[in-house]
Amino acid sequence: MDRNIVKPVYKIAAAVVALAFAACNTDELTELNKDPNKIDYVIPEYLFTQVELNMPYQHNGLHQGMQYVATYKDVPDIGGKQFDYISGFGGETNPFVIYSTQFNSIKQCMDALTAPEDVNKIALLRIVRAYNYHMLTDATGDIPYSEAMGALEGNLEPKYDTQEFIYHDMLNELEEAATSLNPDLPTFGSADVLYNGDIGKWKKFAYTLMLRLAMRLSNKDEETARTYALKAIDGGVMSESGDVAYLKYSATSTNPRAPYTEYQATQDPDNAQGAKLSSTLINQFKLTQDPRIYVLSVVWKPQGGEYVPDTTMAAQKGMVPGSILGYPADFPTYSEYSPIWWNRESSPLVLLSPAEAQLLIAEAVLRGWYSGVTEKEAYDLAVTRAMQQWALWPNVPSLSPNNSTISQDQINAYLTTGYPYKSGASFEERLEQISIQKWLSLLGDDYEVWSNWRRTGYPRFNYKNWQGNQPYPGSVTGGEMFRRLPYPDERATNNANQQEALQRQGFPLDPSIKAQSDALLGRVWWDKP
Amino acid sequence: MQNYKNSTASTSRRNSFALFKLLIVMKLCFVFMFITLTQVNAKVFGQNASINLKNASIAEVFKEIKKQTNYDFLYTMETLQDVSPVTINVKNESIVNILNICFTGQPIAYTIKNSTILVQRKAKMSPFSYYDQKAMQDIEVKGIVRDELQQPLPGISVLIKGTGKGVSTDAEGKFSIRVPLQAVLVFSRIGYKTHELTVQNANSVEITLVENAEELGEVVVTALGVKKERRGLVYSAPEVKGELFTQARDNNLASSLTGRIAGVDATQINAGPGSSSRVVIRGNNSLSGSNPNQQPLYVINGLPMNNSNSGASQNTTGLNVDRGDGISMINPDDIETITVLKGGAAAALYGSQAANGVVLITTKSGKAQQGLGIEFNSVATMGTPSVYPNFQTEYGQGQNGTIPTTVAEAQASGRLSYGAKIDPSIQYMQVDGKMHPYAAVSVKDNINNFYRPSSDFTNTIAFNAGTDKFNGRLSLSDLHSNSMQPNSTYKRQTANLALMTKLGKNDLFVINSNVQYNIVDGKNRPTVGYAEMNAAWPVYLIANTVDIRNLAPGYDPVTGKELAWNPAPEAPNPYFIVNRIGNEDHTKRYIASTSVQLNLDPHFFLLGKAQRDYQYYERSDYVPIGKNSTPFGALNTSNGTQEVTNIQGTLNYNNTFFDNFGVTAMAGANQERTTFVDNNLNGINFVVPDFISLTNLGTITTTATSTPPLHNIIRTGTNSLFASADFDYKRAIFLSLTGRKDWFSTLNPGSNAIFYPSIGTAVVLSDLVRMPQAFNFLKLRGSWAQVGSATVNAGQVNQTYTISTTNGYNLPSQIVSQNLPTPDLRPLTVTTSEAGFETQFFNSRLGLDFTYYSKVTTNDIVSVNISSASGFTGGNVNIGKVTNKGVEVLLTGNPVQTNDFRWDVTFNYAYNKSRIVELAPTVAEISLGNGIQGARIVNRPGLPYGTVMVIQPKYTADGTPIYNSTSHFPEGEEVPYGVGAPPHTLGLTNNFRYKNFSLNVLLDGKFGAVGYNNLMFYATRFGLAPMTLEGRDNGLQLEGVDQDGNPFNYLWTPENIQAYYNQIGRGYSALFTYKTDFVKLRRLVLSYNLPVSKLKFIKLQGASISLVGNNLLILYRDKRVKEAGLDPEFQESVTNAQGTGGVNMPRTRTFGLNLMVKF
Repeated sequence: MDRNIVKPVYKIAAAVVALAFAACNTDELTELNKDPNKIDYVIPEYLFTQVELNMPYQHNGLHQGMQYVATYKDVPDIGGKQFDYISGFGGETNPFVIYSTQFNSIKQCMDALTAPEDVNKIALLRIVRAYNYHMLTDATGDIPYSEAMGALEGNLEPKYDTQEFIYHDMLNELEEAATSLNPDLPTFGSADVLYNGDIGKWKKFAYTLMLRLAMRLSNKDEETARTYALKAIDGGVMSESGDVAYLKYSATSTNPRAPYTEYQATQDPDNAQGAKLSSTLINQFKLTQDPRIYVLSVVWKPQGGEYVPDTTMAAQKGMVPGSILGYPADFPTYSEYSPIWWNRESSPLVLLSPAEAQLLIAEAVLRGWYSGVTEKEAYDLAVTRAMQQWALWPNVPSLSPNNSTISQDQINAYLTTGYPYKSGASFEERLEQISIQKWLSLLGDDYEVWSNWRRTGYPRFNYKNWQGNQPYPGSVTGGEMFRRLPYPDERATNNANQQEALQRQGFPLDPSIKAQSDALLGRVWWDKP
Repeated sequence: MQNYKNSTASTSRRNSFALFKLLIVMKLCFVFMFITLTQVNAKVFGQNASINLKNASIAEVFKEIKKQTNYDFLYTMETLQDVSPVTINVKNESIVNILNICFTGQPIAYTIKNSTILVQRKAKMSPFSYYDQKAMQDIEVKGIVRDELQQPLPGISVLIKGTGKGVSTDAEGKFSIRVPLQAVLVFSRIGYKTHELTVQNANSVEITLVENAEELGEVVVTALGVKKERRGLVYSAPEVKGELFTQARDNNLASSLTGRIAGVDATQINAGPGSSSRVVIRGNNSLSGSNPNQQPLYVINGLPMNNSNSGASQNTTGLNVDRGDGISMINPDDIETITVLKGGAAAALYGSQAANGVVLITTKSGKAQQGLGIEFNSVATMGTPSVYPNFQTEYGQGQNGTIPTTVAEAQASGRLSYGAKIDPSIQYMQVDGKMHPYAAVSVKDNINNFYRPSSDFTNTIAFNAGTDKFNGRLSLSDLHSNSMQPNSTYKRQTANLALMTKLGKNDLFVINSNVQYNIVDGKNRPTVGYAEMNAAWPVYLIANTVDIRNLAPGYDPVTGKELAWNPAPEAPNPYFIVNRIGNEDHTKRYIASTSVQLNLDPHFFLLGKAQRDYQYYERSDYVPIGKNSTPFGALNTSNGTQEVTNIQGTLNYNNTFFDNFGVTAMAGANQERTTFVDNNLNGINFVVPDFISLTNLGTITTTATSTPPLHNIIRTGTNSLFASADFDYKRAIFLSLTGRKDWFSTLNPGSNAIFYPSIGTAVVLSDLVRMPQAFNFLKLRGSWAQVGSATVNAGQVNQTYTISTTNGYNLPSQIVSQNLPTPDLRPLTVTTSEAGFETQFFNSRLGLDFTYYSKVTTNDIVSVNISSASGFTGGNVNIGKVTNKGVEVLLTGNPVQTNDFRWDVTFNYAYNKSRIVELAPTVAEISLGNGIQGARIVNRPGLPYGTVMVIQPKYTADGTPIYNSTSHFPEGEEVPYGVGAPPHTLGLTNNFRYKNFSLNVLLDGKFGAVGYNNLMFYATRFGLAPMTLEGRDNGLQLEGVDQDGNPFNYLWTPENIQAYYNQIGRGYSALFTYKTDFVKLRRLVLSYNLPVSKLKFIKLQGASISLVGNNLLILYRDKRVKEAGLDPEFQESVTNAQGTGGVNMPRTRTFGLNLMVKF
């Protein structure tokens, strides 16, 4: 054979053999599997920031159910219609997604904190964990708790713990965490977006949350409730405007309490599938000459081809929940949210506030558990802080007709003539006033308002407004507000444990979506009739 | 020519058995030739026999001779007509003498050829010199032989039947031969069906030979581009010729497979030109939904290509367009053949990639020819809507029985037909602010008025030149398509260059290079799925008294603001969609491959191949300022590259030992690397109106962790070693073995490798044992194989975290993956076995190919949901067992064949039965996807693959409806309704040819599936569906029992009836789930081949003109589908979640013209 040809023959043969060897080399393959856009280790500070950002949850249905808003038929309204099944916690079809996002992050962050001086950091994670767990159990009842988060250890089917156990453990967790906080030990520093590492403020957060949780048990387990309420008040709860825990948002970050994106930009009546402010809220504002109406409410009126805001109190009109079948031609004439309110992506979001802390104290005084202040003092302070809180909202003159800051004069007028505390009224009347004020002051924190409504029965909402006093045609609850949210369907994932929990609580055993919506009137452990 | 009417045809009119007899004759001739060729029996003359028979038929004598000697007789019963009985008594007499005794005075003569005795009717001449030309009364026959495209066929054997004598056609396909009158001329060549002609008296004939796909000795392309003789294949590997894709073409090549191949289910959604296809071979293997894509591996010229899908997804909002898949960019004109490797054994050499079967594409290459060959093909088609829904026309626009009187009321009820009784004499207000008659407007008219006829033009020119040693082919093609949706276009330009050269002594080096370059431009592709950007949604669902044109132009010319016609901003104005919003995509792609074959000696060669499939794409879509649901506008952009590189080397050996044993062996290695990079930049809120630019956006919303992310990169690789060996004995018994081992980058070392074995055998029984006369050919085959796959995306088995600064603080935050890390994940395994036979009867005029197969997928890699309370929402796990069993039948027939007329029939049928045998104990169900606001598609143990779960009103055992006593709605329960993908598929092709005309008709059908239809869901909610008429006047009285079994009575009053049907629409998806069975007249091609030989002055080699039609008629559909006015093929997705349909553009019926010219 020609030498000139033999040479390339050997080269090709050698290349084939080299290729064969390359085929067996898996190191290079493993390297390919590394995603250049991801890391494979935990940076506790960064993860903690995410844990804080994960704290808020929102459910639009609750917002309607608490009659802040009302809408017409096309949107499955829960504030008076309930003609359809509803989604679970967080508005999710899988309400337990909070485990894989928030609780998993908390666990992985805690696992990464191994140094003895990480006491504060661990304590903060325990406080946040209780904050999120109580929201979930309040909404759904018994939930996986002690065995949760076990996937990496091989437990894919955690058992459900009773709400009673969870509440006692959360109260205990908060107490331990609050007492372990030590200003001399390291903090998350600037990675802590709520308090910038201020341990004193975290302590107030922990005790305010403890007070909220304690008061939740007022009907079910008064002894525990009183004990922890006093521990919390003694430990020190939020009282100053600067104590408020809130998150800031940017234009690109997703604000979980921006329910209707179509509101964000339009100042005209086209936000049709969105909701209008309900008559319940507008009537309350008008009745008490509440200055918040100017901050929150607007009617858009056509003027020369454009729409201009009308924020006068006289112009405001609320839609009666559950009264309208089909889109009404006068839809544009109802009040809707002012653009500065939570429909802006950059609106802040309050997680826990001094207004709530002071209203809880007022209730503790009302119940005779505490006497360090009067009910009225606590109530007045709560209202003051609640109204001052609006200053956190950005003032956007081009979009917003009013400054969000409410003056001290306006506050004083409201406390003296608008809606002064009825110190001499009956227990129920005073409880109602405190609860109505919570409804107004915690606007946006609908899980908490809903829990408070379930516990106290206030504010008194009317859900049967169709043709006067009928339940809306087809209402699955016969015109009642639901008292719990469905579990996720765990037939495919954790059936036996869920069945056990359903049975224990007396809920229908069929976990299908339809059956779950039949169980909406079921009550969680602390929701004692 | 008139004189040469085939004698067979006229005989068949006289005698129904004549055809059969002719077939026997032809069969005998074939056996004769075959025996001659293979020289199986080389017995010498001089054998003797002893016979004692009295008054016996001559056939009995033959039988006796045959018994005692090795001689065979060839004759027909017709030959022996009026042959006198014979009496013979001989002992140990020579055969020749015995025959002479019997044949004396008889009208027959014999001929001995080797060990065969041919018995024929005597001509006028001496009985012993029948085939002695000198003695024949000869005439001269001249003629020309052409193929179906009227190309002259050189080298065709023209034999005088029964003589072995004859001539070949010359380079121009011409021949001349002297034959006796009544002689039969046999025209044959490998690759063509044999044609016979009885010489009558004229002397000039024109013969057209038809290609024979099932011809013995036909070579098919198999795994890794290895060519094998079809008779030796141990598995079913149907092949489709390129021509089938070019006449009545689908822009997406893969969709053209519809109805062509048993066991291959090809579908396309109705998402405009250039949309993607779904091809599933022998059912779904894998339990997962859309990711990973479970379509077959597409291999082009031996190496895998990238078929990643940019198709529409289910149940999404926003822009949801189908930008096609990899195969949609390939030009059908460049296809030589497509072979489908259905079973594991066929595909096992491709290892992991072959778990879903393989579609092998061979593109056209150069051919040796004198001068330059030019081929030009031009197609123009036009499409119009083919089906319209049936909506009620009794009650018009409005709510609660009222007629809109103001614009506000018209807008409030824009999509509601719950108004008053229609009365054209009434004028009422619409959203355009004008009064219109309160008259029914047919949805058909609205569809036809909004959409335009689609048009589609393809021009392809191909050049071919070269010699045996060096040749090349260059093709250039341009496709321009206008969708039915106004302002929507699709363009595709392709160039394909194939070069081959042979260098050195004895072709030491053979180098093949192939480059194709494709440019695809889509503009304003139609949106499918949910409403938001979907123009079809309002066209179908607007209230039934509104002419859709009243919404034009869709926006205020001054402000640019969308004209709202209903309260939901998500339900768009269709004219705003087509006139204002837009999307564009540009893809540039090359597939370049080179192979070098080194022929070291006649038995041994080395082959090196490399191929890179590279594409760059840019995509954008925008909504300008003014759309009600996105008032300040939005712009999304992305670009990226996709690169798939394969390098392969093989050592190949083949030899024959002891004359009868053939061995072919191969060993090699392959390295595959893929890199997909995707960059996205999206934003909202334009600053300056009508200035669509990233620089003009108020806010950029894309971040590292947004969906889609700013930057995404996926890298995967597979290393492989493989070998195969094929043995044959006498080319009649075949044994095939293959093995391959793959190492995957997506799994961790220790569990990232898998070995795939396969074994198969084929026996050509008709060569080994004597078959009944009707059989020409019988082959049995069986094979077993294991293939597997690592169907997991890069970086998924390990715990990872992303870093984001998208928050109100611009601080870094770390995001935990919700996917459970599963570092020990292993590859999945698919075990397939198949058995089948191929047989041909009556001189190959009837053929049957039957296959039974069984596929078992085990240890599937599935992204399952786990209880989120465990910390993760899901993870990839090895679980489950899925079986697919089925049969495939291919029947080919040639019922009529004369000189001028020929009718060929091909029928294929396949049935696939799938079953989810088991999942893991913790996994009760795997979700494949959801229909829009309706059905869930799931895999559950004990149910077939892809079961459609819908909510159905409840009834008691005796059929009494059950209602909820609180809500007064029917109680509902979720039930499995059926499967989404059809288990039965069939196709029937009839090909008729008369002289220069041919007609090809394809019917296809699918049976056994169901589908949920979102259009009917909305039509019911909005009062368009006829079922919503009940109770409008007097209310709807419900009677039944309540959930506790107590009697239930409730009157839904006319005031509340709208709320009732609204909930019936949204709550009970079973009511809108249909049987999607159908039979369609899918394709029709009527061609005329110009007689170019008579038009010598224009120097054409061939020319044809064809009328083509696609999707012409629905011949059968289920009653409910027909009543609703739906096309049963309403699927909205090419994922595994089949069984749901959205509100899509109408299906089209297309007609066109195809012109082909060869110089």
